[in-house]
Amino acid sequence: MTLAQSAGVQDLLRIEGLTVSYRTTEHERLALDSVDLSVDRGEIVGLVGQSGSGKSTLASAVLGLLPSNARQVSGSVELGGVELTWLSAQELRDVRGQEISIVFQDPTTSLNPRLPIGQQMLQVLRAHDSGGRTSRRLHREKSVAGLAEVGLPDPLRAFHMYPHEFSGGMRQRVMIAMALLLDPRLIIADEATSALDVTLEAQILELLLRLRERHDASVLFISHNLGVVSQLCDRTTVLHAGRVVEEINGRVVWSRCQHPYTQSLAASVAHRDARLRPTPTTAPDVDDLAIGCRFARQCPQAHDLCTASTPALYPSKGGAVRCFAYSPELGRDWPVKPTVTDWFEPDGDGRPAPGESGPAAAGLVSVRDLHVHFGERDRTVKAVDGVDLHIERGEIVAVVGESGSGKTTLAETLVRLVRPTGGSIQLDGRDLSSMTRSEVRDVRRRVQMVFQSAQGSLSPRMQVGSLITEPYKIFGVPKDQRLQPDEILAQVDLSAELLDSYPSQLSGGQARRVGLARALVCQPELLVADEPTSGLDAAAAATTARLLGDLRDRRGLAILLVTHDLSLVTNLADRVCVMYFGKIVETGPVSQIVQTPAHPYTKALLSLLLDPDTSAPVGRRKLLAEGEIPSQSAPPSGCRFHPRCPWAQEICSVNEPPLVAIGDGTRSAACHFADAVMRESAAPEDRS
Amino acid sequence: MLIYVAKRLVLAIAVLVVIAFLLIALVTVVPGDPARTVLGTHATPELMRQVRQTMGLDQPVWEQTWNFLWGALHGDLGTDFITRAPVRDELGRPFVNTLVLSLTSMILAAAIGIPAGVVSAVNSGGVIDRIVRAVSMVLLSTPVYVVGLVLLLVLSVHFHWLPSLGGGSFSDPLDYAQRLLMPAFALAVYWIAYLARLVRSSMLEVLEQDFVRTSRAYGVPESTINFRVALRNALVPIVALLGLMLGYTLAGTVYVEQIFGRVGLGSLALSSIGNRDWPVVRGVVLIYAVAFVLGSLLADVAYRVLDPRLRVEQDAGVFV
Repeated sequence: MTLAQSAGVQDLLRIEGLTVSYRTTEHERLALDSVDLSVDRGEIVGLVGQSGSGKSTLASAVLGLLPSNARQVSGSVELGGVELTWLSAQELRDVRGQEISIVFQDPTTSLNPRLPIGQQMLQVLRAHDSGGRTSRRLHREKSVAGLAEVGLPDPLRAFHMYPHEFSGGMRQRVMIAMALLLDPRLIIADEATSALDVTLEAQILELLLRLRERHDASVLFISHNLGVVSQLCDRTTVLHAGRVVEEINGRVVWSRCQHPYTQSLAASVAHRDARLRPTPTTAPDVDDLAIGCRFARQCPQAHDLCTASTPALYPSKGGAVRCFAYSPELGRDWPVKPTVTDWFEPDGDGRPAPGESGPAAAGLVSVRDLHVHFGERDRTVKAVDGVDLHIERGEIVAVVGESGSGKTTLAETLVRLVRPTGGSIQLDGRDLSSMTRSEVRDVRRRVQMVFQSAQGSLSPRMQVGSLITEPYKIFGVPKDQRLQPDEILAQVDLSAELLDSYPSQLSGGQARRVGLARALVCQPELLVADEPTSGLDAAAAATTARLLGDLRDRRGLAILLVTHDLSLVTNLADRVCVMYFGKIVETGPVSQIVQTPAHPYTKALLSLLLDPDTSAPVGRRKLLAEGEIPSQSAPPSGCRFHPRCPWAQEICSVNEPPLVAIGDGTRSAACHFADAVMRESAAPEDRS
Repeated sequence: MLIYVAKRLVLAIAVLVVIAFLLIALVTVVPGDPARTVLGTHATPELMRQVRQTMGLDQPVWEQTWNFLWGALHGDLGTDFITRAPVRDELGRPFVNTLVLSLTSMILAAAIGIPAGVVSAVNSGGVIDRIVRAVSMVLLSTPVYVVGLVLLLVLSVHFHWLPSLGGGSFSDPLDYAQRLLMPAFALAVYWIAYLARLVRSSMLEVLEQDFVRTSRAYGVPESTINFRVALRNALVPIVALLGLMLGYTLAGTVYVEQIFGRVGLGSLALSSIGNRDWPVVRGVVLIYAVAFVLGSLLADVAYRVLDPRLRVEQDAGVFV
């Protein structure tokens, strides 16, 4: 082996000058513009960018799976010295799954719903077993061993189960088991944790790190979330509008984010309010090889030069940056070097204090001792088990908890999608169960819901225009009281151009806002928003959050925010209810609870909040508590959190602590040691 | 699952009761007194009353319904006004003929339509796909009596390849099969086109799904993806449709049997309606109704069996 060869072998994946374009009816648009990227053996490389930055196109190009309207214009993709673009279809098929494997964002749709997962794994094994040399039994054993390795509790049983029988986190583990099945040299994780909640995300990241060591594989970790990438990647490449704008060597920390775009991403991880305007929706034309920096229009430090000339990738202290501010000639005279803090919203901008909406602020919703149980007798799942909740007009109340805590069921009960099995819900002092049919109809108008799966909740066969005006027809609003469709869209910051589009043509953020427009059109008094920002990239999430805040301020709309995203809660909500296993374990004003949590579960959730410290990594990897939420049908005795709680004593497994008022009486917690936990939270040094 | 089937069965029986009621009520609504049909125009009022009494027409509708259903349950569908033979015996032969015709046309439809749809979907956008789409569009909009007449003209009148009229008998199986071929095909043409289009769109939809992308990304060969992954998923709605097709093809035999001069339920229905021979009409319509109800019941059950996600109720639920 010559020296040159052995040097080349160091890089496992080497992408050079990769340019890919998409053909639409009129234009040919550039999705990737001369992208260079390399992944060494055993390395984890992050690729970050918003939706539309071209990061998924890159993954498809590496696997040779570009859609039929895409074209690789130039550039090369080499894996271990072999040029992939020259391979025949058959040779490429051998590479896929065996040399390179991929974990997709949504394990729910990425697995075949009508085939047990074991069969799907066998399909992959058989595809790479030329001539069928290995016996079916060996394949089976290999699959079961793979399932055991990713931490499935009963791999033999899991082998015969269908994807829908697993929870979201387990399903992603199955995907990972499949990715490792043939010991590939490179694993591409394409937004592999974006559809999961914080706890599961932390567990999956942990799993990826452990498996990388054991299998000696390299990982290309693609994500829109700089925080997640900073937790595990050795190097990071930031992609914006098809161009590499920054390369960061080593962990991503605040001070290393140099490009204004990277900084905006970093800022939005910590503060959802950070003023990040959405990127232009259209990628540049292939013929009109745009001159100038593509971020210039959004950049607070942009100068005339930025639009007149294209910056190169200039080497910098932590890697390379495509920004004139760091150019060796120009950078010296650049007036202001961009800094992350530029991206934070100034404080104190007239956000009304809770309860400011005047003396008329009577309780809008009052929920008492609500129970929602599913199933029968011995298989009962107590999704909501004795919950009290109070929402004032103009108040934003957040319900937080891990997936499976019952928060979505609670929300669905409020809009009467689910019938309670016990307890009462009052709207304006009137009990829902005693209402007549026409009154219930009116409640449906007054209480609206925005669903988590934005695309899925819009009828695919209806255009945006009819979708947003449909509630008028449903509730028979007189013609003269109706708004024009373009006015409705303007309320949610969407342009009237979208009126004729179908939901499948919308981006995730747009679909979410169309759902919001639909909910708002009949002037509801309470908006139930189920995970309004999940699955959205930083910019779209920031826009949605700001929109919700505006609506409350302008219209006095009450919002019940159901989310697992704590940074959204701290920025938006007035009060928070922490739910665990169907019960509220702590509730009170957000500011107090964030500073001094009194329940160990709240404390654990808060520890996952990212910490904007300039020398710390942008995000830190922490585990909430061991294990997932225990089985729904057999909850632990006593306090339901005790098996995962560091404070747990004997009493906790026997007596269930009631929700009692603590502190100044505005908040309450259900923990035997609430005072101790609170004291410790208030103390400067942390136990962890 | 068993509970589900039981619930559906109860519903099916309720539907049949309603249909029986409507069938009886229909006689009182439609012009023309059945007694007059039997006796002719010159009967005395006295005689008319007597006949009406023996036919049970003087009883209230619900009581007639009850008697009809009770009789049907014991295999007694009443007596033919004209031939005075039990309706059950009159229906036997035609029923078998019609059932054979329907089933044959369903098999033809599935055997030609499904492969055509698969080929079309796999070569989506290509020449074969365009041909399949164009031909199926034409066939979908051609009524069954036109197809039947054209077949008759070409294959029997012009080329003399197949016998033209009559159904033949079981004692000469070869002749029976020859005579079955043309009507069954005429009846199947619409469903061939329908299935081809449905399979095509259903498969294309599945091929767009994320899990197909997963299979590709893991190097699963295209043939496996097309048949094991896509077709398997695409066939679920189609198997369910086959249940409904049973009812529709049975109904379609009315035209076909008339054109090809076959003895069957369809031709029997036409002639007995013309004769105001209500017991026979009732018997035929009841058979059609049972076929429809049974078909949709099978369709619903098939859906549950084929889609594991709908089976959840019997399993332990989500695996955490």
